[in-house]
Amino acid sequence: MMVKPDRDLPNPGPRPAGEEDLLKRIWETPKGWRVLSAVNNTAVGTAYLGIAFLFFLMAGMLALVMRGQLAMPNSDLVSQDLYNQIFTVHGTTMMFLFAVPAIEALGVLLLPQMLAARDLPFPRLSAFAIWAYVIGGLVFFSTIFYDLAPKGGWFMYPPLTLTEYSPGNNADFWLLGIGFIEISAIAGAVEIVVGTLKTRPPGMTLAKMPIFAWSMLIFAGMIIFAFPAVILATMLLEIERSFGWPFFSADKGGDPLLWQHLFWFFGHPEVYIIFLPAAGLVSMIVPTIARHPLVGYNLIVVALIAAGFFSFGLWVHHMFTTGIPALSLGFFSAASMAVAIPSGIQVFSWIATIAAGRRSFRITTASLFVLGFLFIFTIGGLTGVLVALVPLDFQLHDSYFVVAHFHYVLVGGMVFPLFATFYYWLPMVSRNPLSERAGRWVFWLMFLGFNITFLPMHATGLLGMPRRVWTYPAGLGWESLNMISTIGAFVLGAGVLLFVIDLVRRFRPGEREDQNPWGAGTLEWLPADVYSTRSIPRVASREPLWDQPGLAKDVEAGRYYLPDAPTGGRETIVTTPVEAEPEYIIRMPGNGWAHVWAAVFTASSFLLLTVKLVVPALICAVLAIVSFIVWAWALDHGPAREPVEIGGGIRLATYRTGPSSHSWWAMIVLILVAASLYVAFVFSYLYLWVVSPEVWAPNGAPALPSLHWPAGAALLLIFGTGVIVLAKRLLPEPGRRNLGGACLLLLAAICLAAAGAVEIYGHWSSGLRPTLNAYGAMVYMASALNLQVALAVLIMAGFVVGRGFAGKLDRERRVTFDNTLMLLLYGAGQTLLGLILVHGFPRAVG
Amino acid sequence: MTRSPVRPHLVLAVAGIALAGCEGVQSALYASGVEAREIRLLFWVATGVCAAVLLLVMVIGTLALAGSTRVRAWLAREQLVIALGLILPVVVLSGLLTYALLVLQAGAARNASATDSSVTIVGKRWWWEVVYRDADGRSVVSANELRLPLGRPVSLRLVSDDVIHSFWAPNIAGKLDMIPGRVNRLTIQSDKLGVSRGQCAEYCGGPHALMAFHVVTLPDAEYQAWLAREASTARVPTTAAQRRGAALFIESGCGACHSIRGTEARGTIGPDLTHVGSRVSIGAATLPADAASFARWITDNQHIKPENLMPPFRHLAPEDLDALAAYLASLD
Amino acid sequence: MTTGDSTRQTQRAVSIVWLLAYLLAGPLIWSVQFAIVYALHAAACATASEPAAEGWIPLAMAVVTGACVAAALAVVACRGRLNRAIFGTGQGSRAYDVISLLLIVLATIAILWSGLAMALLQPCSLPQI
Repeated sequence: MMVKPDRDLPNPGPRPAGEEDLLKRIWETPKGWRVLSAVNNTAVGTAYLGIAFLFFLMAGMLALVMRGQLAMPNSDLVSQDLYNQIFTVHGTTMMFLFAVPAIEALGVLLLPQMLAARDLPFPRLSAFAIWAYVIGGLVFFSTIFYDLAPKGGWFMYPPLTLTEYSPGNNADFWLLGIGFIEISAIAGAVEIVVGTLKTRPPGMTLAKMPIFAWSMLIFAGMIIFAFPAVILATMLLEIERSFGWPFFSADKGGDPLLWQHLFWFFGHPEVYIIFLPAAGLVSMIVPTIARHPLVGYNLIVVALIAAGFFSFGLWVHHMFTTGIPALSLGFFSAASMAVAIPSGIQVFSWIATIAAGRRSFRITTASLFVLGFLFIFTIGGLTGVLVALVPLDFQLHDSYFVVAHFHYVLVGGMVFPLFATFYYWLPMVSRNPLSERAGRWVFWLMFLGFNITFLPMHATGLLGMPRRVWTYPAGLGWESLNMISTIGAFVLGAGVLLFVIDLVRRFRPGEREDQNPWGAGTLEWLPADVYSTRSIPRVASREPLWDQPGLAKDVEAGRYYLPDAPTGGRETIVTTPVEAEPEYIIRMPGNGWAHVWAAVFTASSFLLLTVKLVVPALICAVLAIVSFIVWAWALDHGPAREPVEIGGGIRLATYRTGPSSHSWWAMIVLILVAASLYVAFVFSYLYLWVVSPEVWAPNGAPALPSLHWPAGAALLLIFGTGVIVLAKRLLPEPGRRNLGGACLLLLAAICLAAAGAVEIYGHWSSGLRPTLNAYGAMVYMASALNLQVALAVLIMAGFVVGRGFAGKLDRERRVTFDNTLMLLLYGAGQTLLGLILVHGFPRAVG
Repeated sequence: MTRSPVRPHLVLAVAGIALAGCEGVQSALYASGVEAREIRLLFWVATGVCAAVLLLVMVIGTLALAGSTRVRAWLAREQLVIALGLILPVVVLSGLLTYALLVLQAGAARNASATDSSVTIVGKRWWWEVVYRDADGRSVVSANELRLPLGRPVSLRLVSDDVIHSFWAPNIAGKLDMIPGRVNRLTIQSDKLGVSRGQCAEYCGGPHALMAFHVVTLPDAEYQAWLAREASTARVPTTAAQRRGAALFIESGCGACHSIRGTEARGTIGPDLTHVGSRVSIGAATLPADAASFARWITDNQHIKPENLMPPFRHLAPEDLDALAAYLASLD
Repeated sequence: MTTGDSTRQTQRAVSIVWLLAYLLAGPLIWSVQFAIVYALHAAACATASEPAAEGWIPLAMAVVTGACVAAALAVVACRGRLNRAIFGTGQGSRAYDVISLLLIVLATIAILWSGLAMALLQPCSLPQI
């Protein structure tokens, strides 16, 4: 298999006529309103990015309203209540509905092109994520227009956000909006982990991956470990709001700081979740503009990984003023210093790359935005060092200094690279590039506007102005600084407006004329059509288009791998995760409606639940599950075909089960998410015990039920696991029908659910109620999380039984069976851990 | 967008006049306390270091863009990235971290050595209850103003019984949160006579922006005298109008929420008004404490400070309102 | 679960799990040190008595920190052997070695900085300024 990339092409001969038309037909994006059923990454990614940008514009307008209000002291342009809603919606929208989705959109849009894959491995999952996000996001945002918007600030600290201090549905709408971004973030993480590790072109080892792919891989990894904390936090808050389980109420043993720990354990990595991919984009643009490979590729990878890790050790630096012991603060201050180093490495890598070009750095609008980013982000990073110095943060925290700091980091670190991306990559999806002449104006208006707005805010904060104030009195020395900031904001807004006008004038989706306008070296600039590249190249370097002459021509002529569609449907090559050797052909679903309906009904269900229409919400939930089942039914097509030839004498299977299958990987990612969620729960349980041991059983709550109960639950789990072993053996030979295996799987799932039920019954009969105190709430929460997994497993097992019934399940065609089994085993493990914690811990310490 | 009939800026302008010419009255850069002074030094040192780093990045960046071929070739090396991106930050940040940790430890040591917590401040929506303990160990309840003896460390107990607030008097010290279920302790020492201003720094809903307070530093002797007076019961009304006001205060039900020690008013929901006339401000530093402001606050507080928990009392006849205001202003 | 299966399935292929473990050794060691030291200190301050702050808490934290630095050094020392174990003979890419080593350097700096905090700050004392 050692193919010399330049000479021995896998498919040297001419391609049969009609092959390209076949590809076009298979990958066609539907026209008219049917475009809603499209799943192709270019279509979905562009729409995703467009919607995310729309949210950026809307949240930006809210920012202008706020700046209008703050232009003068004692202003009454907007009312206090509306202002409180506006800043909450501005922050929430920018963080959750713009920044994260925009990054995911870029992943969906650019990653497959950079990896020369035909699509991401789960096209409908991306499409589902975007529809859920569009519906949920728009409903969330629209609350600002009818006085229903949340007003607790984007981090929604309880007790302010508990029902007592925030009656009405406003806060629930916040939780709703977050719920959708949680769904689409997790979906995105699954997609991106599997996409970067399994669908790279042959020869692109991990060490040859484009930096953007590295950054997206790290992005996805961070989502897996960071998002579950906020998922748990939002679950706890909604449960306390709706049912009064006192997780955050101090008078019942809860602690408001629990929310802050969980929220910031997510919230700080979140900043890097946004920034690292943006830095990855910069690492793609700089070498092209400098016409020189990145100086310090390895160093940049190091920086990305280190920042990803260290960012998990910073969460308490949002809590420096909560009265935590000094040494704890010291640890987080030290980690905050550590995370500055990777940024230094990246900044100087880019500068060294700029210097490395033989000719000087080209000044285009994209490169201006990169340089602007370098300046702004450096300042943001340095003020980040200031706020990381604990005593200094005692003054700067929650002041306008912090507002300035995080806008420098986020606008500098994410928005400027995004605009560079627009100018740089738009030719990939649009017939016309954006205007370079207007681009200069856009850049300078935005750059100057940004600095005029936010540079003075550092001083405003030092002069004592706290953030989130609706108005301020005259005479404190803040008037002129605020006026300058407001003027700057409108200049910045003018720049964005000019960009939008140019975008509307010039953006025309379709084929570009110049295939590689910037002379870039990475694969997304290969000639492409709806099917992505005509054939999938074997790459030998990090910049194949620079180092492999004729690559574009050969790819276009179908001389590389998979120039056709041997299975007659959408497909791409799956390669090994490290060395990227071809493994098998993944057959991917095409356009469809089931995932759209799944998104619509999921969104409707959440929305109806938010406005307390329980019955319609349940109906929608059932419809959503039905849609999911319809969607999933078509996926496991089985090993119907012989291995297919992709060129160069490589014959690949079209179906895999077990650890090399992409669905196995997706399930592992999902289980990691579930495990992170449970770890966050275990942390919360132990944390609340540390804070309020007095409410724990047996002194503060009814004594634990006798050990018979957990023993019974454990026996059910063990029995279920034993049943699974038998179930695996009972799967029929291909072509036969035998429901035994599937039914035993269902039995095991029922055991799992029953174990959860037994556990709940035990506590209930001991007299413990979740509303009693934080201990009771935590005990029942453990079961709630277990039952959540059990419910998913039950639905999946029912699905497997259906597959068996339809004769679509056997010893080889068994991906659905395997996935259910994996989740079932995980669920059993989690439930067992829960039993040990809930029944063991109080006995051990009490 | 709603428009309030009475413009808050008129209101706040009055409060501004009370502090006219007091730019820097609420500023971390105009330090008048030990803690704020140490932080200010740390700030200038760290900012200087960061400015130097920014300058370095800009110079190197400019050379990379526009330098001669030789300079650019010299810059385009991984060694540059290691030297300036890794080693330099480690050296600089080690220094800054050490300095900051030493400052942190010094503050923690001062906090640990402070013997008694003589003042408790309770964050309320949206005002501050300030409880002093006098020499005899009795509690003296006051509100929205912290008086400090010059040059003597005072340990504040910071608590909250509703949502999270944050106590921030930037001229004196950094902020510290007030969290339900927890007691935080902040030891401060003011070393400059006069009035400065502070504000709630943790968003607490509604009129968070209008939850401020004043810090008044007095010479120690004067402070003791003031505390003794603050501990006493309210001044007995002397004029007819004040007497009428005192009666109205009880008749109108004000005592359900407010206390005026020495009268029947024993409410604890709102601020203690026993010596309200002697304070710098009312409404948590939104209006000066004079008769006219009292009258406006009583009838119009929902416009002056929207969503605050006191209902407006509009039914009072003008002369009754004046009497009530005169009475309250007399409570010094 | 991951490791065993994937090595069995594709014997020639380099195991992604082992490679990741090698690449991420530094940050993983830092994570362990950070989590233990932070949790130990926070839990001890919340539950233990005053003398503990003087006695075993600083000692335990110092031991954990020292052990983690030693672990990081051990990975550096065994680099060659780890590389061969993952890639077989002569197959490994130098890039992975560089990435792994530099990550260990950064992680060690972070660990030492948290050690600096331990050296300069009194355990369990409340912050302020």
